[in-house]
Amino acid sequence: MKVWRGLFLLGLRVGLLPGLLLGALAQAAPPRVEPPRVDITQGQLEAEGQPALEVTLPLKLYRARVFTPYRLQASFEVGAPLLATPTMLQLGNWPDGGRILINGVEVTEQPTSSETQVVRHLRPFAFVLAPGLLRAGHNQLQMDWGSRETLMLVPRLQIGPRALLEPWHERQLFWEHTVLRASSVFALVVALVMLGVWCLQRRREAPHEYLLIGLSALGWIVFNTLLLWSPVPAPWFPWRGAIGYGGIGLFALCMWVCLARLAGRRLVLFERLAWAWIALGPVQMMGGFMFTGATHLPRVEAFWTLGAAGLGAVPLAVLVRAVWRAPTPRLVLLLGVVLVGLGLAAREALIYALGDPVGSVHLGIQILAPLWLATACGILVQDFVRSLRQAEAQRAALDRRLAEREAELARLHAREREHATDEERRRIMQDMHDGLGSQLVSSLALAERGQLTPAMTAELLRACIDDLRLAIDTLGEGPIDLALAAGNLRFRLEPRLRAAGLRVRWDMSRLPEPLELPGSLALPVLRVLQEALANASKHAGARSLQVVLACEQAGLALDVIDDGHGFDPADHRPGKGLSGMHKRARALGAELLLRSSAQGTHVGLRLPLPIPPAPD
Amino acid sequence: MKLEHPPAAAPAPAPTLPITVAVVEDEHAVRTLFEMAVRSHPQLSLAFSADTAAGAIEFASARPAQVYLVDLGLPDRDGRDLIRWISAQQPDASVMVVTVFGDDSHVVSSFEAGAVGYLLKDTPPDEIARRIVDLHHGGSPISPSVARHLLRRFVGRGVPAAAPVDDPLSEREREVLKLIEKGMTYDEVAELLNISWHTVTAYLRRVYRKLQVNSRAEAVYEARQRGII
Repeated sequence: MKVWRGLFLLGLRVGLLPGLLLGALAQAAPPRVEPPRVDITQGQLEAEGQPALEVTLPLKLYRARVFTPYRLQASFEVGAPLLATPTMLQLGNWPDGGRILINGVEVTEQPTSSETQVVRHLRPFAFVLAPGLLRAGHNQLQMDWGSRETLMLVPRLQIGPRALLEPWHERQLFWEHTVLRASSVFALVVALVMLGVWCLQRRREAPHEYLLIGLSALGWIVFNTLLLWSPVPAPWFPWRGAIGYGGIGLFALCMWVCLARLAGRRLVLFERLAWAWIALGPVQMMGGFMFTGATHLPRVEAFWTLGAAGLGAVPLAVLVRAVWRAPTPRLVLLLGVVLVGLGLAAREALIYALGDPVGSVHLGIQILAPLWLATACGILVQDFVRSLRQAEAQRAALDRRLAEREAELARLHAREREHATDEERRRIMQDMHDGLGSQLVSSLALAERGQLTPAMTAELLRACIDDLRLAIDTLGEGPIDLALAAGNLRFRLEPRLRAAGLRVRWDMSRLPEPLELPGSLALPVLRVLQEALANASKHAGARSLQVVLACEQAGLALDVIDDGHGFDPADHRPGKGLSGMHKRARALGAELLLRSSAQGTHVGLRLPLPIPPAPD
Repeated sequence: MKLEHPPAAAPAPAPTLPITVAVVEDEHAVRTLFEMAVRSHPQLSLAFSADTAAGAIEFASARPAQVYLVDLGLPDRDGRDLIRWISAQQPDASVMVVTVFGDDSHVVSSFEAGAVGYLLKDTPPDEIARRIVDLHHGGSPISPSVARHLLRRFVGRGVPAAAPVDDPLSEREREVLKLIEKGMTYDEVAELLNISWHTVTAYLRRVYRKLQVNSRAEAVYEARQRGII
């Protein structure tokens, strides 16, 4: 599959150009029709009211823009071999049309120019001659037509065997007539596609090559369509010329600009000059018609055409240099197209210069236009496909990178979770060790020494259950809402506080909502609170108790203030509660305040928080 | 805006008629403690005590009690099944869950089954009796984290995939739960909202009922979603 694709592309690149070239050249050469062919190259031309002139055919004549009827008389000799076969009259180029009579018998009548219309046939003609029309020996031909415009062409006529002339004629008709129309349709498609792409791309930093090729194709369509327009009403004829020139100018100069750009250069000055030249085309044409009455039109025309051709030297130079430096296939192809175009143009110019437009007159441009448009389209399509592939590759790379990052993130999360679980396990172990474990061990020691009354046992067990509940409250991976956990603690201790006759004032209003702390911070704080509440309810003999948890600039502040009889912190026997509070505060890196007097006790905890919680 | 009917305060208890209490608990020591607490209180009388769900159902059918204390970890069945049975058969009775830790998931699932209060197993005997009386007259307190759980149960229903909420929380009910969540006692909540203690408990009872109704609706919805019914 890949091989076939490669072969096809190779064929397209290598075979397209020579193929077209060969096709064009094959038909361009006139047939080697040996006698019995008769060429009519001499005749007498009569303009109305003027003496007859001896002329050589084909004749190219510049004349005033007035309507004049013409007549051509020619005589020719026919030999016996020609009479033996069916014969045909062929005119390679017969723009003015008219009527042809041989030996007084009308062969054909085609539309011709009159006072009100201009006729321009841009196609070859061939007519089958009726048997018996030609005579052995001397024959007479007469051609009548009208001419209204500056340039008049009187064609060379040839008479020969039908079998020889007809295939050639058909071929010529195909190139001059059919290809002309087909290329118009092709150009229309190209123009629509290119301009469409350009419109869709416009928002980005769009390459204007699409626009240039679209305009080039559009110019070709205009030129072509006007070329085929016949007969033209007389007043419209100058406009047809002007607009036609505009079209061909657009075609050629867009091509020049585009060539330079495809060769990698953007020549600003040249491009401006090119646009100006395009605009000049129709203007000079109309000027030629209006101010000189078309007498100087050929010179004006030649000036503009040579200018346009001269401008073509710039992109050609750019292209040659680019090919010289880096002969990429596309540049070589472009250069090939340009050279073919130049060759055809030279041939065309030569035909005009020699005044011998027997073959296809417009062959050059007919070949060049589709060739150029097809090549340029191919290059842009290739660019488009290339950028598409690039985008695909980029997207694939991006997807891959994204997937990698996601996997990495997942790994990281998993590790983090694992770490959090480990941390939690460690914390619980530490807590069990410091709290419940040590409490149970010391209780057991007391019980074994027989120092526990049932009331003391109950109290110790209750303290153990309280500890256990607190541990369960702060269980879990996530951070702990301190206000909620403290509320739960209060809820649990409430019956005991009430039983002790304590009136509690609970103030959490200066905590941000929610204040979430990791368990390693929250649990010790709650233990200190629990201890302080237990002490107040058991020993202080207080009536009211104030509990304040607040977030301050320095961190977290916990204050438990009662109005009990107090104790001397220094003198107090080393009770488990107090030492536990101190130990926890130290482990937290917090400051524990203990103030006690006969008016009451104040237990305070100041915990600096690493990140001061943002105010809500 | 929804019109709020303040729940009516429960009538004052008649001193001559003690509240009948049933204890369903398999641990002997705890059951004895509870029996003792009930017996020693003048306003309470023990209807029966049982150590299995089956036994409790048998007794309850014969001698319905006004308040049931139910342990969740019964040997023959899950305590919640018994709660469901009681709230279906004897809707006027109040069920109180007996639990060791009072952790949210146990308490809330019991509320969904039809319980209206809970009791920690280590509660002092006189406090037990007081709670039972309170419950009979309105409700028993819940911890802040249970309040938060309840709030979330109702607030989380906004998602379209979840079961339809028959009856969302009213503004006042939400307010009460929020204050409890912040660690306030019923008295403080009542004071702050300028309502009576009874009104606070009545709000909470309504929340429990909605929870029960919604959990039933949720079960039906779920069953329907799964194509069971």
